[in-house]
Amino acid sequence: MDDRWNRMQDLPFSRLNARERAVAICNPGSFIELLGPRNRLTSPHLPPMGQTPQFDDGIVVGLGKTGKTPVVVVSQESRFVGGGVGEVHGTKMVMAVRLALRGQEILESRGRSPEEGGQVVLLISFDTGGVRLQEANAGLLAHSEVMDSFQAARGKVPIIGVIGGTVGCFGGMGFVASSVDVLIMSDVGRLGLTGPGVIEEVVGTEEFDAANRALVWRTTGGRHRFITRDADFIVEDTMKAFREKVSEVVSWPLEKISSKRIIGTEDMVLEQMRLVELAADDKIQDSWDLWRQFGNEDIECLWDSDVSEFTAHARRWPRGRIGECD
Amino acid sequence: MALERLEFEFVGEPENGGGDWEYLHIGHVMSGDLEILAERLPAEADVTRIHVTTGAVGFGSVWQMVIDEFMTTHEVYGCEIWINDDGATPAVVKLRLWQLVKEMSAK
Repeated sequence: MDDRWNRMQDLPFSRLNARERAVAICNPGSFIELLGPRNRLTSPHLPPMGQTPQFDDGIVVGLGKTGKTPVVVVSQESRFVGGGVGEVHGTKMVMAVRLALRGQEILESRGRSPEEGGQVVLLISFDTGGVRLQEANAGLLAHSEVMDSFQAARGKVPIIGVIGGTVGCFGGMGFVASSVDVLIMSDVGRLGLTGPGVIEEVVGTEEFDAANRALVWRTTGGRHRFITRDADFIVEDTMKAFREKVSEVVSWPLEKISSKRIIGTEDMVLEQMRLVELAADDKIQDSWDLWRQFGNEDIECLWDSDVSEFTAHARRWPRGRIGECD
Repeated sequence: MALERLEFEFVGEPENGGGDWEYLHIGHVMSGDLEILAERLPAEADVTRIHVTTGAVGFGSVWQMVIDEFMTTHEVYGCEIWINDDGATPAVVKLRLWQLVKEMSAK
């Protein structure tokens, strides 16, 4: 078991499946899956439409530990219907958030301090295109319930999101990933609302060429999200890099983690609107124009540099409120 | 449009070796691939039931051949096996079944 755990640490995060990611992000041997494949809780909506269901409905939820901290882990599997959120998938996610909140209430009522493992953390690995079209109503409902429980968790249970899978995080889940406290991405990871293929389909190739990988990644990829502060950290595409960053963030005090949130209050929305205004400016035709606007000069060199060099040299959106706790 | 469900049953002497496993899960439901969930039946059980759910309708005889060959070769009696298939070719089905047997003996 620990052998496998060790082997996974050196593998690319993007190549691991949802279950491997959940196991490998926790302490060795600590992850316990809830409602796993053996429970065979499958989608009731897919079979009538001729789509074979999957036993875990494309999502792994469970409990584990990072250091001494208890974590509730949610990990989406993009290999199954593109990680789409259906009724069962969504419900498992919603219940995991509620479980984290309930667990925190219980630990608090027993007077456990954070140092003694008294602070529950919620960890979500996004790898999804958002709502599963075959069961869209249930999927949408799950999105809003998850965001609702994120608001309830504010200042109680820290929520850490990671994006490093091959699909990335798009559609409604793009909103959900933006509502977490701390978001960690890799170079491979992408975050957006409308996916590149859909933009091309609706407004044409001239507007956005989804086959142009360089364009897609510099618009939705981890580096751009780091610069615009949608993502707090960018790490190498290895399991180990993600796990180490998660352990680091988990060790922060609750207030520091909560302060990283970018939406959820009126002020924060206004702050986001400033960025939208900037991006709507005629001079901004490409994500790199925005990078230049923030004072980055040798963009191509910055784009090609390795992650640690990029993190050290990239000049990010000078968002007012974050500067002091960077 | 609907899915096809196929059932196979084999009776034989349950093997005593075969590793210490209770249940195993491998694979994914994605185009051209499948997932397999295997549960071990109580020690005295001499039957293996294989349940296939597939979106590729009308390939029952091909499944029969692949699974017959699998059971003749590996004789994994005493378990319940569920397969969720999304149009895997016989070669892929054999690979996944081979992976299952490998994991059975690795545990």
